Amino acid sequence: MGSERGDRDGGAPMPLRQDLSADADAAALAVYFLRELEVRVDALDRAWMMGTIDVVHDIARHLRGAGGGYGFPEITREAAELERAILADEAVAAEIGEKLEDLIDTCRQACAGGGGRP
Amino acid sequence: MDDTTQHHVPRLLAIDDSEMIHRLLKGRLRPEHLEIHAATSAGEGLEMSRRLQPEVILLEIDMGRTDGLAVLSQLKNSAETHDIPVIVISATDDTQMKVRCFDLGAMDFVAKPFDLSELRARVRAAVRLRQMMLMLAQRAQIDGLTGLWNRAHFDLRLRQEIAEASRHGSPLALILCDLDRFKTINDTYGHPHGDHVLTEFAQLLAQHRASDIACRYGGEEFAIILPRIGAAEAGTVAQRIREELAGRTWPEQPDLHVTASFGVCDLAMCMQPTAACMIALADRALYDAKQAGRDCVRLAIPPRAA
Repeated sequence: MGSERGDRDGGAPMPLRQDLSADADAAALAVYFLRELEVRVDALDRAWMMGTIDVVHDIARHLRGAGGGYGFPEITREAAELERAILADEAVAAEIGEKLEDLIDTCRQACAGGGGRP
Repeated sequence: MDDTTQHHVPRLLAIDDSEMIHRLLKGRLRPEHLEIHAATSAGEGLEMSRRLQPEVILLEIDMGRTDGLAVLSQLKNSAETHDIPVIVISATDDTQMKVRCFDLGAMDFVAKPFDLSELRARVRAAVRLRQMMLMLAQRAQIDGLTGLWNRAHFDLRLRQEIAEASRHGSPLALILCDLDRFKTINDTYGHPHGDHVLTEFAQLLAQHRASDIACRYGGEEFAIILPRIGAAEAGTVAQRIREELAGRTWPEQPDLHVTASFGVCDLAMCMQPTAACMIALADRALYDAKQAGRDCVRLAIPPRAA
């Protein structure tokens, strides 16, 4: 079961379907995860606006570890990219911002696919 | 015989600062029939490790500001948690990090995001290993002839029970007993029959409360640790055992009459709540029983009352 990416430039995000949606147990856990994901996305937005990079890093670290386990390997991938950008020897704000947007987009697609906010 | 490794549902302790990971583990490890505990900080994880004595620990190395390697090191350097298998779980898939984890004593390493089938299999392997270690440790503390706990176990358990009794202010008694004229039994009837007498006596000692810890202390010397009762009640237990033994007939040797002498004390009698004090008091009482003609029970005289 594959996944699809949305168009970043506008419109509602294309749903990101969970890879393990055929697994009943994983589907139940995904309901919990997607609820948490909405909270994390809001927190990422806030942390970035306030410039608290350590909070952004913490959230990215948690999503990197959990995303794939809940059937969303894309979230793990994007979170890992964001972490790399933050931890780079010469971290560049623009690149961090770009990776952050990628991660938020991916998370919103997941929420859209799982019945999150429209 | 008291079983210190009573069967229970195997325990898994996960130490990770991510609630999402804990939720995932609880949900996806359910088919493994484990009792799953969660710690979200290093301090909590170390405390729970000591208290719960889980069969396996899953430890995230990267917990933000907490150095997971330091936690692993503490687990492996503590006598209380040294033998618990630790599976490191980490989103950090760095080879040098893995090498460090194994060098610090980790049993296994699973990268996040988990392949859940793999994680389950590794957890099962760790639980099997832990259960085998406990079984071997238990066998090493059992006297081969009588099936009672051996001296090594007695020494350990007496210290533990004294600590427990001191913590809770509860009574604790000790019986030391010795088969009377056992050398004569061996010389007259032969060692195989002497062994039979030892085995039968051991069964008498092991028959009482499940919480009592019966041990073979020496050749023909035995000990019973009795939690939550004092010397008077322990003396009654000793009297019952003495009477049962004295009244026993030995079909293979109709002329044989076996008796034992018993010395009894409790923790409250001790000047210091130590194993050495309890053993010394009970041993003195046993000596008094022998001096009094054998086949009797003597309670220790507290040093203050002497």
